[in-house]
Amino acid sequence: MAFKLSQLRKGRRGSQIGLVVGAFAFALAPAVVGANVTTMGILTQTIIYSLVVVSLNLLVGFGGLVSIGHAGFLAIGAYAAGYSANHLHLALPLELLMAGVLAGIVGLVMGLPSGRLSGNYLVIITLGFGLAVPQIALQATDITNGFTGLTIANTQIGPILMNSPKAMYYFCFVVVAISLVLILLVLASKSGRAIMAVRDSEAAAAAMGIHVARTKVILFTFSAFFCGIAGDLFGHFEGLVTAGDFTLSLSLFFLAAVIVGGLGSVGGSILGALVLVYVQTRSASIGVYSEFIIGGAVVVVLLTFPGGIASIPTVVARWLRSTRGTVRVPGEGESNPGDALTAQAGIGVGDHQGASDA
Amino acid sequence: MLELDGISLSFGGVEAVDNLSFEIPDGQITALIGPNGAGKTSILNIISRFYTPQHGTVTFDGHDLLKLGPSQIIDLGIARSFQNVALFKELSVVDNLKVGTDHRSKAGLFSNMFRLPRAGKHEREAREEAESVLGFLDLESIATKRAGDLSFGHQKLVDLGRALVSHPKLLLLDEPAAGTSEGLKVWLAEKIKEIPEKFGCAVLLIDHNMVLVLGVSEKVIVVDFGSKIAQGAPEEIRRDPVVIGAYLGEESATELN
Repeated sequence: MAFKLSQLRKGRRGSQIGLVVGAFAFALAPAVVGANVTTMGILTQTIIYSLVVVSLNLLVGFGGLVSIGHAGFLAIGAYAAGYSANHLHLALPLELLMAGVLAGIVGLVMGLPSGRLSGNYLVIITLGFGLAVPQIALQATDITNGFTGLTIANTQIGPILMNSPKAMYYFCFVVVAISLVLILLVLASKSGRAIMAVRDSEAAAAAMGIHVARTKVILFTFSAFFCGIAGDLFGHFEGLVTAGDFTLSLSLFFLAAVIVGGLGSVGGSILGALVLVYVQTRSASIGVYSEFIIGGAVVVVLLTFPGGIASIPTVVARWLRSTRGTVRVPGEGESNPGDALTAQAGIGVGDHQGASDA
Repeated sequence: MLELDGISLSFGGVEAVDNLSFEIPDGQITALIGPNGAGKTSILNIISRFYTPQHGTVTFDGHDLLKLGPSQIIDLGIARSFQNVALFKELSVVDNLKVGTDHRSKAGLFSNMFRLPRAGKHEREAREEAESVLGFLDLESIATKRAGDLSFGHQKLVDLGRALVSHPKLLLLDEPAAGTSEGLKVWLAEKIKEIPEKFGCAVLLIDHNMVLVLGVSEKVIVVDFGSKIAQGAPEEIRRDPVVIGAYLGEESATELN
């Protein structure tokens, strides 16, 4: 059978098409659904949350590490945006970079023990982080303006002021799209394979030359970096951030969105973010039930499609294909297997059993 | 090329390896055999640095292996397969093999994120080399399948391929044929025999399967209770009374001769 390069890419083609279609849908959405303040708000939030959920999915789905404190990285990015806009007046790309790097440094420090600690302890560390950040934000009033909340000046790119919902939407769209492309490039590279290899088998990963502990720390930093960038966007989008915005419950919602969308799927995380924002915007009318609904969605997804919404096409395709034939293992089903070798070794093929049991 | 000298390893008082010494010559297939629990896999885990012996030295091409960690020895040219296949099960077959080539790339996260030339070059090379090994093992038709979905026989082959694609000087194979069909065992034996010449490496083969061991190896080392009890060419081992007593058993030995 001839071996073609196109064969290698076939497996990923479905999800790549999905992402491109999704990107076009988000790019055209304002024209289609109308650029009023409410719709633009919902769409902008979805885009920002998409980056948060993807960044968390890097850790949970691709890396097999759990964080229940990712709202903390969002907070770091948001306050970095505020500090820059109100005091430093950095150029926007620099400000985004600063938000990412600050969150990344905190992620690196939190990730340091991940090489030595088993998963459960790491979860506790991220829990502590998630709980501590709002408290620290309340105390560090110089930067965060404490309980009152921090008002963030309008974003400005060159002479253009991001003061319309549509401008803010496209600004977030461009930043998130670039971030997602960079993440996808990493996932399709040696670095991405190392992250997933460590998740699937630490022993085999080490034998293939991957430094397991270092890979986990890099992954934590990488995830926090992009969550920080999302936080920067979040700050500008909200215009006012308070310590109460970054609750443990928000971190858990992000984790739920990862699971509902699909562990280890970038496209799935965007769908997960969509579900999350939908339920959150409805929470005005459904109140406390929003947490109940998100929890229920996790249970339903795990029971029906454990791979999340993103896995539905694959599951259906596999089910449709399941009647087709299987691939032959070399040497199997051939007539008189091993005549040559049996003669050489001087024993019957079946006789090894006695020796191995001896 | 590989030399173990006076290796002893114990787990809480239980001697797994006891004052063991042996040498593996360049470019040949050496087999390490012995009954269950004789310490074969422990020896392999010492060489691949998952275990550290209490006594003895391990040198490879002049390097003191015991100073290195498990993720460093592949750069010296030591690669291994696993007895109970440890594939990256969520990755495709071809990606599993690409991981085997990745230690050669110096591209870091940053280069990969922006697909700098060195990252792109490695991706192309990794794909080409993965394809070539997939061809050697007759696995082209399942290249894009998820490794976790494969039959056990296919998984064993991918495990072997992942080690082969790393350009090893020494390939450690831990029961490559265990749990596979008779047909595959025979096919695999032929393939293993081709490895030293085709890939320019020595092979250390652990297996229970006497067909495989005596059929493919040029040198056999027999261990029992963590010590070496015999070593020599396959024909000598087949007739060695100590080996027959400890391992082969009277009945099998009669059939072997």
